[in-house]
Amino acid sequence: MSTTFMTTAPLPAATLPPRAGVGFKPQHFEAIRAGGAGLGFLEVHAENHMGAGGPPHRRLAALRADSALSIHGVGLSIGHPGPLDEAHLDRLAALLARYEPASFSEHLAWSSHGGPLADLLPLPYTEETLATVIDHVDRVQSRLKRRMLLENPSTYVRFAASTIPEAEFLAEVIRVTGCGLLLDVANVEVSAINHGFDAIAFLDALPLDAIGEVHLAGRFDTVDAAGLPLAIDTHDAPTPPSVWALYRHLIERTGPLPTLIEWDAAIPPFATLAAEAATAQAILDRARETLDAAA
Amino acid sequence: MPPHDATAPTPTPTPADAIVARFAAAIADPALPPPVDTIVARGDLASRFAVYRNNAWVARLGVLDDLFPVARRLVGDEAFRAIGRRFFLSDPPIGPVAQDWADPFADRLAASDIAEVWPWLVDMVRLEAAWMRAHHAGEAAPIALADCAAIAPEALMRHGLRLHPSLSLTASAFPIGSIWAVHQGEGEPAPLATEGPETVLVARPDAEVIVVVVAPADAAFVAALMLGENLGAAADAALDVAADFDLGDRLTALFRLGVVIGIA
Repeated sequence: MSTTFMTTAPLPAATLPPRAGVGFKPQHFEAIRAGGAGLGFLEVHAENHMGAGGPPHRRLAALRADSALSIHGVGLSIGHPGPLDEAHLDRLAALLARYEPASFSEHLAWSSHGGPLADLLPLPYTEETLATVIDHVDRVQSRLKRRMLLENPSTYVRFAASTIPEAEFLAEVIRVTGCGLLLDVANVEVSAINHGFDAIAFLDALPLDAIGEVHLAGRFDTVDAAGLPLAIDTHDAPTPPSVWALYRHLIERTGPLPTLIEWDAAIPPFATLAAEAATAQAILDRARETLDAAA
Repeated sequence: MPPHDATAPTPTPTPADAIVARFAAAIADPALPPPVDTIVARGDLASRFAVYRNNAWVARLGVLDDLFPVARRLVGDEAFRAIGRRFFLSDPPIGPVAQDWADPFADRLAASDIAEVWPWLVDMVRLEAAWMRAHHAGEAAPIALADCAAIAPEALMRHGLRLHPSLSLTASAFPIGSIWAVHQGEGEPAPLATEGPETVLVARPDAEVIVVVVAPADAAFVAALMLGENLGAAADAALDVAADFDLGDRLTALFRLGVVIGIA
């Protein structure tokens, strides 16, 4: 159908509904089961569900029965120059086979080096790392037999060795591997603050039609030792107004997209999370009305 | 990745290999400056790099805090974190799944000089690792003793029992089960009503992990069954420990715990 060379055959692309969802936390299980606040989907971390059974799987099976599911990996270390952890990839494959989620996503980052570092660490953007990340995304997609979404990172430092702008790097990985983009709007703004670039220009440089999911989250704003703004991606607070503004700008351009409220620390009562999701849903609903009116 | 060629010389580290190695080294050691490869467009590089170092240490030590809440309370936050730092620096676990770090942590603690100073700490860490294994173990439906009614008692003695995959025994020269129990909940632990050795049975027959101190003869009985011995041999092992071991009574108790999933 196409004469363009592709490194992989087109992969099945299950998709999340273009609605608002939340990151699932066990303490919200009963509240979600009781009504779910009309959530479009739930997201869980893959690495929290890698045992054989027990409460994590019992909860996930119950949630999966009546909700679209996104499985979000945090440990694959796709941005590391070494080979992928095939044992971990096997466990991911088993988890995805068990729950058949609508989406699987991972990060443009590395998180292990001779042992786990448990943080999403930045990589230089060079021809060498571009080839590595393309290799790794290809391998993940062929092993998991599905399209994955790759998430843009939040970063605090850059590398002197980098020769490719981040948006261009992501766009090229997406173009060559056919993977999708998990656009973390909060990460875009954290990096924009920390490196002093324009967040809207960054969005404009991304292949927005490849977005399979959007993340929104809160952050901690502080200053560094030089007194200059330092934004830290903490996922422990409401989404700040400036991130909502950037999100509205995005959705006006793209139309409704699956949108997740990420809140991973200092977990609030479910009602707080549901209110954040409702704010996102209202923005998605308005975009839907605009599209319908134009049709 | 290119296909592996066994005759090829060891590849020289690429620029990215070297950058990642320097970055990881600077995360490990707070005394090191930010790696030479890193830059900032504005502001102070050291404070910005410190975000990564802080995140990586808080996240990893936080995992150990969550895996071993009682061990941490016993030695105090500061000592427990020092032990954790040593673990990640000297012989870190493999893989990104937090629950998989529990057993390697216990093994390395047992092999370290800390085990000589605080031998009970190793046992508590083993007990909490067993709890975590049970929490994540596979599902299996328990059977009732009545399900064995079709087998004549003499014949039953030639059978073994299939036990729940979550089941383990942790033996200690210290009363670790009792210590564990008084440290559940937030408040000051109640005084210990016991001293001396304890063996603790941990399992998850349904949603909740159970933690039960078992008598020495019961421990010998369950241990023999776990090794695949038949009921007759397991009872003999228990009788070697306590001459008054009552098989019928103990078998009933074992089934009531919900840890028997079949007849072998």
